[in-house]
Amino acid sequence: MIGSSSALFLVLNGRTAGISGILGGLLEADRSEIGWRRAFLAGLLIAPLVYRAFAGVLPPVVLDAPLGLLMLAGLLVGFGTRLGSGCTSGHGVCGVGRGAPRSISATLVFTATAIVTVFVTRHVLGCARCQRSSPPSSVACSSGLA
Amino acid sequence: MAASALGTIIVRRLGVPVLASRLEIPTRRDLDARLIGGAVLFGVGWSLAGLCLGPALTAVTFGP
Repeated sequence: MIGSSSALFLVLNGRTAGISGILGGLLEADRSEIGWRRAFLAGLLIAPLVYRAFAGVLPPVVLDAPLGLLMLAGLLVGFGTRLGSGCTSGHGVCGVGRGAPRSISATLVFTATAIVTVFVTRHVLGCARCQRSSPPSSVACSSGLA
Repeated sequence: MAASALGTIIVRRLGVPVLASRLEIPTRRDLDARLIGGAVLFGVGWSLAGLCLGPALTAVTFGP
Protein backbone atom coordinates (compact mmCIF):
# COMPACT_ATOMS: atom_id res chain seq x y z
CA MET A 1 0.00 0.00 0.00
CA ILE A 2 2.72 2.48 0.95
CA GLY A 3 4.80 1.35 -2.03
CA SER A 4 1.87 1.78 -4.43
CA SER A 5 0.99 5.20 -3.13
CA SER A 6 4.59 6.39 -3.36
CA ALA A 7 4.77 4.97 -6.91
CA LEU A 8 1.61 6.90 -7.78
CA PHE A 9 3.05 10.05 -6.19
CA LEU A 10 6.22 9.65 -8.26
CA VAL A 11 4.38 9.04 -11.54
CA LEU A 12 1.84 11.84 -11.02
CA ASN A 13 3.83 14.48 -9.12
CA GLY A 14 7.38 13.47 -9.97
CA ARG A 15 8.51 13.53 -6.37
CA THR A 16 9.81 11.23 -3.70
CA ALA A 17 7.22 10.48 -1.01
CA GLY A 18 9.70 10.96 1.82
CA ILE A 19 7.78 12.03 4.88
CA SER A 20 10.70 13.61 6.75
CA GLY A 21 11.64 15.71 3.71
CA ILE A 22 8.05 16.74 2.99
CA LEU A 23 7.50 17.81 6.60
CA GLY A 24 10.90 19.50 6.89
CA GLY A 25 10.08 21.52 3.76
CA LEU A 26 7.01 22.95 5.53
CA LEU A 27 9.39 24.98 7.69
CA GLU A 28 11.38 26.36 4.79
CA ALA A 29 10.73 29.73 3.21
CA ASP A 30 9.67 28.74 -0.33
CA ARG A 31 5.97 29.68 -0.49
CA SER A 32 5.24 27.83 -3.72
CA GLU A 33 6.30 24.58 -2.08
CA ILE A 34 4.01 24.82 0.94
CA GLY A 35 0.63 23.83 -0.57
CA TRP A 36 1.32 20.28 -1.68
CA ARG A 37 3.27 19.58 1.52
CA ARG A 38 0.28 20.67 3.62
CA ALA A 39 -1.99 18.48 1.47
CA PHE A 40 0.30 15.49 1.99
CA LEU A 41 0.33 16.02 5.76
CA ALA A 42 -3.47 16.38 5.77
CA GLY A 43 -3.73 13.07 3.91
CA LEU A 44 -1.63 11.34 6.55
CA LEU A 45 -3.81 12.71 9.33
CA ILE A 46 -7.12 11.98 7.59
CA ALA A 47 -6.18 8.43 6.53
CA PRO A 48 -7.10 6.77 9.86
CA LEU A 49 -10.54 8.41 9.77
CA VAL A 50 -11.13 7.10 6.23
CA TYR A 51 -9.91 3.66 7.30
CA ARG A 52 -12.33 3.68 10.22
CA ALA A 53 -15.22 4.75 7.99
CA PHE A 54 -14.71 1.63 5.85
CA ALA A 55 -13.36 -0.94 8.31
CA GLY A 56 -15.37 0.14 11.35
CA VAL A 57 -12.48 -0.23 13.78
CA LEU A 58 -8.89 0.93 13.89
CA PRO A 59 -5.97 -1.30 14.78
CA PRO A 60 -4.64 -0.34 18.24
CA VAL A 61 -1.49 1.77 18.50
CA VAL A 62 0.81 0.19 21.07
CA LEU A 63 3.30 2.58 22.66
CA ASP A 64 4.76 0.81 25.66
CA ALA A 65 7.88 2.94 26.12
CA PRO A 66 7.89 5.51 28.96
CA LEU A 67 7.20 9.13 28.00
CA GLY A 68 10.81 10.31 28.48
CA LEU A 69 12.10 7.54 26.25
CA LEU A 70 9.48 8.38 23.61
CA MET A 71 10.59 12.02 23.66
CA LEU A 72 14.24 11.01 23.29
CA ALA A 73 13.27 8.65 20.47
CA GLY A 74 11.33 11.44 18.76
CA LEU A 75 14.36 13.74 18.89
CA LEU A 76 16.60 11.00 17.49
CA VAL A 77 14.13 10.29 14.68
CA GLY A 78 13.90 14.01 13.88
CA PHE A 79 17.63 14.77 13.94
CA GLY A 80 18.50 11.49 12.27
CA THR A 81 16.14 11.90 9.34
CA ARG A 82 17.19 15.49 8.62
CA LEU A 83 20.88 14.67 8.93
CA GLY A 84 20.56 11.49 6.90
CA SER A 85 18.20 13.11 4.34
CA GLY A 86 15.44 10.56 4.76
CA CYS A 87 13.54 7.98 6.78
CA THR A 88 11.86 4.65 6.09
CA SER A 89 9.60 6.18 3.43
CA GLY A 90 12.12 8.32 1.53
CA HIS A 91 15.09 5.95 1.75
CA GLY A 92 13.48 2.61 2.51
CA VAL A 93 10.48 2.63 0.18
CA CYS A 94 11.26 5.18 -2.54
CA GLY A 95 15.07 5.21 -2.58
CA VAL A 96 15.60 1.46 -2.45
CA GLY A 97 12.87 1.01 -5.08
CA ARG A 98 14.77 3.46 -7.29
CA GLY A 99 18.05 1.64 -6.67
CA ALA A 100 19.70 4.75 -5.18
CA PRO A 101 23.02 3.79 -3.53
CA ARG A 102 22.66 6.40 -0.76
CA SER A 103 19.21 5.10 0.14
CA ILE A 104 20.27 1.46 0.07
CA SER A 105 23.18 2.29 2.38
CA ALA A 106 21.00 4.36 4.73
CA THR A 107 18.34 1.64 4.87
CA LEU A 108 20.91 -1.04 5.69
CA VAL A 109 22.42 1.19 8.40
CA PHE A 110 19.17 2.21 10.10
CA THR A 111 17.73 -1.29 9.97
CA ALA A 112 20.91 -2.78 11.47
CA THR A 113 21.02 -0.04 14.12
CA ALA A 114 17.39 -0.68 15.01
CA ILE A 115 17.99 -4.44 15.35
CA VAL A 116 21.00 -3.83 17.62
CA THR A 117 19.07 -1.25 19.69
CA VAL A 118 16.14 -3.60 20.25
CA PHE A 119 18.49 -6.41 21.19
CA VAL A 120 20.44 -4.22 23.64
CA THR A 121 17.41 -2.60 25.31
CA ARG A 122 15.36 -5.78 25.60
CA HIS A 123 17.92 -8.46 26.27
CA VAL A 124 21.07 -6.75 27.57
CA LEU A 125 19.72 -3.81 29.61
CA GLY A 126 17.09 -5.95 31.31
CA CYS A 127 14.03 -5.21 29.25
CA ALA A 128 12.94 -1.74 30.40
CA ARG A 129 9.80 -1.74 28.25
CA CYS A 130 8.57 -5.13 29.42
CA GLN A 131 8.97 -4.30 33.11
CA ARG A 132 6.22 -1.74 32.68
CA SER A 133 3.85 -4.24 31.10
CA SER A 134 1.69 -6.86 32.73
CA PRO A 135 3.40 -9.84 34.44
CA PRO A 136 2.85 -12.39 31.63
CA SER A 137 4.80 -10.38 29.07
CA SER A 138 7.56 -9.72 31.65
CA VAL A 139 7.91 -13.44 32.07
CA ALA A 140 7.97 -13.96 28.33
CA CYS A 141 10.59 -11.25 27.96
CA SER A 142 12.88 -12.41 30.74
CA SER A 143 12.90 -15.87 29.22
CA GLY A 144 13.94 -14.32 25.93
CA LEU A 145 10.66 -14.90 24.08
CA ALA A 146 9.54 -11.30 23.56
CA MET B 1 9.61 -1.31 -2.68
CA ALA B 2 8.62 -3.38 -5.70
CA ALA B 3 5.72 -1.01 -6.34
CA SER B 4 7.93 2.05 -6.02
CA ALA B 5 10.47 0.42 -8.36
CA LEU B 6 7.67 0.00 -10.91
CA GLY B 7 6.73 3.67 -10.42
CA THR B 8 10.35 4.64 -11.14
CA ILE B 9 10.35 2.62 -14.37
CA ILE B 10 7.05 4.16 -15.49
CA VAL B 11 8.04 7.75 -14.76
CA ARG B 12 11.43 7.30 -16.47
CA ARG B 13 9.67 5.96 -19.58
CA LEU B 14 7.27 8.92 -19.53
CA GLY B 15 10.13 11.38 -19.09
CA VAL B 16 7.96 13.84 -17.16
CA PRO B 17 5.42 13.20 -14.40
CA VAL B 18 1.70 13.29 -15.30
CA LEU B 19 0.71 16.30 -13.16
CA ALA B 20 4.01 18.16 -12.75
CA SER B 21 6.39 19.87 -15.15
CA ARG B 22 9.54 18.05 -14.09
CA LEU B 23 10.86 15.10 -12.16
CA GLU B 24 12.36 16.07 -8.79
CA ILE B 25 14.11 13.06 -7.40
CA PRO B 26 17.46 12.98 -5.60
CA THR B 27 20.43 12.33 -7.88
CA ARG B 28 23.36 12.19 -5.45
CA ARG B 29 25.16 8.87 -5.34
CA ASP B 30 28.03 9.57 -2.92
CA LEU B 31 28.02 8.35 0.67
CA ASP B 32 29.01 10.72 3.46
CA ALA B 33 29.21 10.80 7.24
CA ARG B 34 26.00 12.83 7.54
CA LEU B 35 24.00 10.17 5.70
CA ILE B 36 25.37 7.30 7.74
CA GLY B 37 25.33 9.20 11.06
CA GLY B 38 21.76 10.31 10.46
CA ALA B 39 20.71 6.76 9.63
CA VAL B 40 22.29 5.53 12.88
CA LEU B 41 20.45 8.16 14.98
CA PHE B 42 17.21 7.44 13.16
CA GLY B 43 17.62 3.67 13.66
CA VAL B 44 18.03 4.10 17.42
CA GLY B 45 15.04 6.45 17.74
CA TRP B 46 12.84 4.37 15.45
CA SER B 47 13.39 1.19 17.45
CA LEU B 48 13.09 2.86 20.88
CA ALA B 49 9.68 4.31 20.06
CA GLY B 50 8.51 1.53 17.75
CA LEU B 51 7.42 4.30 15.36
CA CYS B 52 8.97 6.23 12.51
CA LEU B 53 7.59 9.46 11.07
CA GLY B 54 4.68 8.30 8.93
CA PRO B 55 3.05 5.98 11.46
CA ALA B 56 3.73 8.49 14.25
CA LEU B 57 1.87 11.22 12.34
CA THR B 58 -0.98 8.93 11.40
CA ALA B 59 -1.25 7.82 15.03
CA VAL B 60 -1.88 11.45 16.02
CA THR B 61 -5.49 11.25 14.85
CA PHE B 62 -6.31 7.91 16.44
CA GLY B 63 -3.53 6.99 18.85
CA PRO B 64 -3.66 6.52 22.62
